[in-house]
Amino acid sequence: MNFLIVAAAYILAHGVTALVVTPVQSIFFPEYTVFASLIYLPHGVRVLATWAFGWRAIPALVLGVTMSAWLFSPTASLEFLEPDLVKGILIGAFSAFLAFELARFVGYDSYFGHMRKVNWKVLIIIGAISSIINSLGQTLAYSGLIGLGNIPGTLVIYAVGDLVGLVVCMVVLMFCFRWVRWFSLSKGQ
Amino acid sequence: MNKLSALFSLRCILRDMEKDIGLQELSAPEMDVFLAANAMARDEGAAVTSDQIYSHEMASGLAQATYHRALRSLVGIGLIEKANGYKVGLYVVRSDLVGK
Repeated sequence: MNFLIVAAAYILAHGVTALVVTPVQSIFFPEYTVFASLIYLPHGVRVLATWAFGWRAIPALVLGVTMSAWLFSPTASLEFLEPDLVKGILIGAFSAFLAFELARFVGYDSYFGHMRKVNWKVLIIIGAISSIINSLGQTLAYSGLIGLGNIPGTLVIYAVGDLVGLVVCMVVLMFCFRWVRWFSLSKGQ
Repeated sequence: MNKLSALFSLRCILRDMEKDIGLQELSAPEMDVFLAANAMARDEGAAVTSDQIYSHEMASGLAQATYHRALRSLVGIGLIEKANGYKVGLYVVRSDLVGK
């Protein structure tokens, strides 16, 4: 069940990114848009799913990314990216896990249930580390397709997009929980 | 692994985030209970019982569970404090914190 929830959450986040964020971004940064999004919401799903389920989130994320690519990427983009698509999918699915493992290695075991209570800032920091890992990995994976001159820009857009996506995802969830709280309180009156 | 406790934990994390970025504000029942407690306390620093607060017209319309949840929440936020030295539920309103 958790597997399907994570995959569905990833597909939903990717759908919002693909149908809302990317069209707007492509007006301003058309040369980078095929590779990266400035607000990449699925990164929030990657980080939160890995926080909650550890390595068990990886297969669900792989399914989510694969389904998202199939559902939302234009065929032309998919054909263009195809040779390196599998590498890109795996790097994306493993990036958050690698960041959590790195944090664990330096003494901040932040997985759900391992620490009494995780501060939201710790999740943001781990998300930032994960976005750097993902950014480097994706740029390497698609280095053959990205023009040499575009590599620094794409690298920055990947990292910034992932991090902004995580923050937006957390803020959206925060408001959702807030509304649920208000709704349940007003219902109890 | 308990899926619900992960969700509960995430809610707690995001509630902290809400507090830290200054977005937390009182819900309608919390506001009613706070105003009722403030009205019943009359003098600054005076202690009031939970029953006294609940008897005020601002709070008496709330369901018991909602009232207690709101009171607990106000104690958690620090706008109402448990009075020192009393075993029974006596509360002090920290109206001095309002607006800070």
